[in-house]
Amino acid sequence: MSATKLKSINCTQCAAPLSLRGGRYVESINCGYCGAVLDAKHEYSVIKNFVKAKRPYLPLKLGMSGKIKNVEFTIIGVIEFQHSYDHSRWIEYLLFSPTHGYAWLEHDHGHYVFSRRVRDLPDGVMQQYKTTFRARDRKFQVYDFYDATVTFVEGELTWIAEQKDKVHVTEGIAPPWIYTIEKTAKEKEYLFGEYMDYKEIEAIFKPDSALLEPEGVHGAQPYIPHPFVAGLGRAGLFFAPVALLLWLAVVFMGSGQPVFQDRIPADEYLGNQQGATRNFTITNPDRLVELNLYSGLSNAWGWYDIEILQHNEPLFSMSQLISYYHGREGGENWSEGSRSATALFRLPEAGEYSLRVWGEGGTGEYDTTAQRAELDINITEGIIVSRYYLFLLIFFALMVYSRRHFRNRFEKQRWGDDDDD
Amino acid sequence: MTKLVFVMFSMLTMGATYLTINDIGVLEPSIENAREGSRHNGMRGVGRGHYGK
Repeated sequence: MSATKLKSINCTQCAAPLSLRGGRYVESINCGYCGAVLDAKHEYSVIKNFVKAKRPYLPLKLGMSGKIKNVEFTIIGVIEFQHSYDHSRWIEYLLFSPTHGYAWLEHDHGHYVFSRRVRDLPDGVMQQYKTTFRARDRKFQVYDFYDATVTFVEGELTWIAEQKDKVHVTEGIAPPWIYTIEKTAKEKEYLFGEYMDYKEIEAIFKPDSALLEPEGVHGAQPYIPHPFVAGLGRAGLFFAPVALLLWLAVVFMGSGQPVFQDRIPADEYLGNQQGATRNFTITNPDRLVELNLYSGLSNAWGWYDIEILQHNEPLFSMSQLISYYHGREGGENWSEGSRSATALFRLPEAGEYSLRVWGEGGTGEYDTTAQRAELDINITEGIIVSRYYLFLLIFFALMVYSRRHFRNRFEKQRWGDDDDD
Repeated sequence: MTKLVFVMFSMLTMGATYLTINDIGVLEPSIENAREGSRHNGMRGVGRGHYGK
């Protein structure tokens, strides 16, 4: 129910009924039926006509009322503007409250901005894109400059609109706030606005049909992440440090204790039926044992058969390959493979064990003459692998980063460019 | 939604802990029973276009 007093007249040109709700500062009534502009101060005489003005889609209608910021406003006028450069169009609804005066509700491709005229001037020069200035105790960033033309009017306005009236607009944003300077041939107005969610507008004015969802990103639209994305980010902020601590704990406690280290000459493990045998002692059979092989091979490969024995009885065997190739090609150095190999295994109980190793190898593409390189063997017990906590840490860190990623993507859409974070 | 994500992440953390404690998926895959012998079968893939016997 509107708090404004409703009067009505008939259009003095076409006799269509026109409602009057707009208060004493209304200068003109624009007939939506015939396009006549009536002078509110002179017996509603016809001043001019808006010719061939195509009626735009109006999700909200004249006379609709609702509370915005706890103030009851009624829609009394509609004006459509066209961007001079990209020819896009948007609607400005003129709102009236008997207690709080006039305000604007912009509707631009599903986005809504509620703004009011202010007397606060900016404390900086708004001449360059993205430069900052302060107004109404907020820091704004210059967002856009453009010219717009009036293409359609209906209802009551506080001035007499001219078809193709031009206005030069300068906008600064501090989402959800927007500060606008509108300059016409006659005056300059300063407006301070706030972005409003279309669902909120729908709840306020209760239109007959649901409002359309916004398209794209509006300059003053605040970034509100999807609840799931927000949840991922929040949970990631908690779990990433947990995973980091767990990973560090495992790295610290699970790096193990060396139980064997030796360098085996090539003669001992190459072409020797008996292989090279070494003994080692395990004291912690509950955790993994790590075998590390290193050979300084150069453009060669080595294949190592390894047997683990207990009481001179073989427990199990395994094979490890070391292959390392390098060179220079097309002006660039390249290398492939590695000079080391690692194996993790478990031993059944504490005690003495033996390791027996045989080797063979080759160089180049076809030569099967093994390169006579020494083989370093290291055995470490008490190993706890940290890879799962590392994966977890990376995953959680990515979730934290995803918040920033989605925000950056939103900002790029806001600014219409690709070079801003 | 945040609660759901917290539950999911808690389960992931517990899963990682289970895999770590039980050394799952980390044992040397080439280990065989000693009586079966090593995996030595005469084919070696090595280097950039280099092949052994």
